[in-house]
Amino acid sequence: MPIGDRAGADSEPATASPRLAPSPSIPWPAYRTLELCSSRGGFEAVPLREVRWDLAQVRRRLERARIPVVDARVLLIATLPPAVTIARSGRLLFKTPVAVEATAAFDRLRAVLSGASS
Amino acid sequence: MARGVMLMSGGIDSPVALHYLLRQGHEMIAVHMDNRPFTDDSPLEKVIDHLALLRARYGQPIPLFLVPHGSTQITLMRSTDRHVGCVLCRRFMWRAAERIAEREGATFLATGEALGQVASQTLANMRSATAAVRLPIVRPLIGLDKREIETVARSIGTYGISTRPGVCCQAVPDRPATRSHLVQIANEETRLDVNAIVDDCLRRAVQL
Repeated sequence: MPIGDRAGADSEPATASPRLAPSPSIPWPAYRTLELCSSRGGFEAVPLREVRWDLAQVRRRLERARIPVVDARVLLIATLPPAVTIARSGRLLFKTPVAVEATAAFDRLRAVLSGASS
Repeated sequence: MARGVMLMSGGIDSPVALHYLLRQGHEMIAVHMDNRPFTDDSPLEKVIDHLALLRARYGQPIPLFLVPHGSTQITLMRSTDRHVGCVLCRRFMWRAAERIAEREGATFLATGEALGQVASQTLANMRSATAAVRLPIVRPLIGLDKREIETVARSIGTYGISTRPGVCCQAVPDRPATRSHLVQIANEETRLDVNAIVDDCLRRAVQL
């Protein structure tokens, strides 16, 4: 059973199942520049206009790409690496203080979710 | 002097509160609620470094218990009103700390809370959070303002550790309640198997 189906299950990541149904791509909004968050531990990306992502669909896209996901229903934590918190609003937090790593992870996430290569 | 359990977050306040209690001669045990994957490794690393510093200063062993809390956060996010998530989170922290206190023969709990600093530290929210436990709670910093706490943190050497880069807790809701009501909190918890959650966390807790 994928871990996100169980309330209370946390750090054991879900992995992709070969029987997962096809998942449509996620509309990718325009983002502000990646910025170091206030506590300087990660880089934050905020959409120019707030979106309303279907996180179940986002999770399916990630799982199809064999990216481990923790599903807290109101947000997802995907381990690319680095780990990235994905909010329904489209806000992203990459848990690395290294700009190059955060940018690479942002590009990979965009490619996985939207189906577009960077 | 008494034996107490101190909740340590890795922030500026809790090592200062611990410093005051150690200075008074209390025998202290530290508990860190591990919020990963909603944070990174930095809070735990900071707590380890805070304790190394205070152990050396006061010559006390200060055992540290690491209690997994990420699974509890996920359960809360999936099953309860996000608005009161911080209060519910705190209630589980207090419950875990109290269980450890009972097991270790401690007679009080302690925290670095100061009134009104953040959403979880309003009087209403403190009341809602601490109603989950029976042991007395000591708050050495309750009347201090941030600047006063930072001054002490600098003087004892913990400020530089606390302010190292790290990822803030990602489980904090966008608009946390500042005036929670105990009835509502109790109602939210009816959706949870509270004892099972606490049992599970403590079963996975480790002493570092």
